[in-house]
Amino acid sequence: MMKLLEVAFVVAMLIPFATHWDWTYFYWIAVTATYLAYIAVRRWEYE
Amino acid sequence: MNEFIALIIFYAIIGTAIALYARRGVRTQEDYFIGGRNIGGIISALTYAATTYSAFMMVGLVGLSYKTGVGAAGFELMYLVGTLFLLSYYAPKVWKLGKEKGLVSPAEIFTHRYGVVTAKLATILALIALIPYTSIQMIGVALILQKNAGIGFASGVAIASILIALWAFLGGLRGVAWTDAIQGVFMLTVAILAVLWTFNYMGGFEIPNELAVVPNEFWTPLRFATLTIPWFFFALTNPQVFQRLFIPKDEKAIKRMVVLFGLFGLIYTVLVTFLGLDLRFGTEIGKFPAIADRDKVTPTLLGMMPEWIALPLALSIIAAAVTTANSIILTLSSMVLRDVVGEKGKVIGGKIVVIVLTIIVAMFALKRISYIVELAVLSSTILLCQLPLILGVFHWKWGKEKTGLATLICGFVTAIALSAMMHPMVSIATFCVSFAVFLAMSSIER
Repeated sequence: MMKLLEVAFVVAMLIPFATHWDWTYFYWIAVTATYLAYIAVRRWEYE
Repeated sequence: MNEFIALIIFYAIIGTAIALYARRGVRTQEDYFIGGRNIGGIISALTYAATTYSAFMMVGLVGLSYKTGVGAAGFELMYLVGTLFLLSYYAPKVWKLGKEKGLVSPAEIFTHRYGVVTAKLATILALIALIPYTSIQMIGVALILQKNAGIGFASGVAIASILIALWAFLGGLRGVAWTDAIQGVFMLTVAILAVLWTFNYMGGFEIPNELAVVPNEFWTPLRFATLTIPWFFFALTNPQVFQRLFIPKDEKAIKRMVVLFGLFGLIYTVLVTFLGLDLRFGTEIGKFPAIADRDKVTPTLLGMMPEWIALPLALSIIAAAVTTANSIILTLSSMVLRDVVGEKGKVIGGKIVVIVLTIIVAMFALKRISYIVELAVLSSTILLCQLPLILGVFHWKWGKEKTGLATLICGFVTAIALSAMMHPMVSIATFCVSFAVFLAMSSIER
C-alpha cells in the first residue's frame, strides 16, 4: 500500500502534461515538497 | 589586486586548511575513500548535495528555465523525486551491504555478484562517462577565472586542477566532504541572495503564458522522458553519489542524509529555476536583454549585478564545479586502484591516482575537443547500463559474470551508437536494451 502511494507521487509529477495547468510550476514544487515531508515523517516506519 | 583573485585565494586557503585538518587519522583506504564509514548525517547530506549539484544548476538550468519555461523545473524536480524514491528504499540497504561486505569502491558491489572482470569493465565505463563530464566542470572554472580575473585559459585550467585535486589529495573523502559541506551552504546562501536581488531588480515575478505550461515546443512528453530517465536513476548509476551511501556512520545518519539532501535539493532547484523564470519575466518587461543562447543567460546576469553579489555568485559556480569534480575524481580513483589495479591496502596509491586522473581531466579540458560536450551530456545515459546489475543484486538471484559483461557492453554500445545517430530515444533504448540483455542472460546463466 505504501509502495503504491510512493509510485503515485512519481506519477503525479507527470500529470501537468495532460492538464496544461497555468500553475504547473507551483504544483510540481508542492508535490515534491509533500513527498519529501512524507519521507521525513513516515517513510522509515515501513522498513 | 583584482577582488575576484583575492576571493579565490581566500577560498583556496580555507579549503586547504579544512582538508589538512581532515587528513588526521587517515590510515586505511576505507578512511581515505569513504571517511572510515564515520560521517554524520548533516555532513553526508551536504556532500551528497554538493556532489550532485554541479555548475550545471547555476548556468545550465537557469538558462534552460529562461528559454524553455517550467518544464525545466519539472525535469529537475522529477530527478529529485526519483532520487528520493530510490534513496528512501535503497540507501539503508546499500549502506548495510557496504558495511557487511566491506565495500569501498562502488564497483565492488559488482565484484561479489558478477565477478572481478565486470567490476573492471564498470570502472572503464565510469572513466569514459565521467572524465569528459569532469573536464567540462574544469573548463567552466577556467572560463570564470578568465572572465572575472583576466587569467589565461591554460592557467585557469591549471588553477582549477589544483583546486580540484588538492583537497581530495590531502584529506580524502573527509577533506572533500567537509569542504563540500561549507561550499554547499555557500552555494545555497548565494542563490538566495541572487534571487532576492533579481526579484527586487525586476520588480516582481510572473511566468509568461507560453512558458507556464507543459507540453510546449521544447518540453514534449518524449523529450521529458528521454532527458528524465537517466537522471531519475542517477542515485544508483553514478558512482560518485552511490559511494556516498557507504559513508554515514549509522542507519540514523543515512536516513537523515536522505531527508536533508532532499530539502537542500528542493530549495536549490526552486531558487535556480525561479531565477531563470524571473529573468525571462525581466526580458518581457524590458529590464533584461533577450538572450538567444541559453548558456549566456547567467553570464549576462553576472555582468548586470553589482560586485557584492556578482563575485560571490561567480565563486559559487566555481564551488559547484569543484565539489562535483573532486568527488568524481576521488571515486574514480577508488575504482581504478581497487577494481582495476587490485591494490586494496596502501593509501598512497589512491593519492597517486587522484593526481593522474586530474592530469588526464586537465588534458581533456585543454584540448577542448568537440566530442567532450557530447560525451559529458551522455554520461548519465552511458552509466544507465549498470542499473539492471545494481537492482539485480537486491532483487534477482540469477546472473553472474557473463550477465554482467553482456549487460554493460550492450547497454554501452546502444548508448554510443544511438547518440552518434542523434536518435531522440537514446536513453529509453539504453534502458530497455540493458534490462532485456540482463534478463535474457541471467535466465541462461542460472
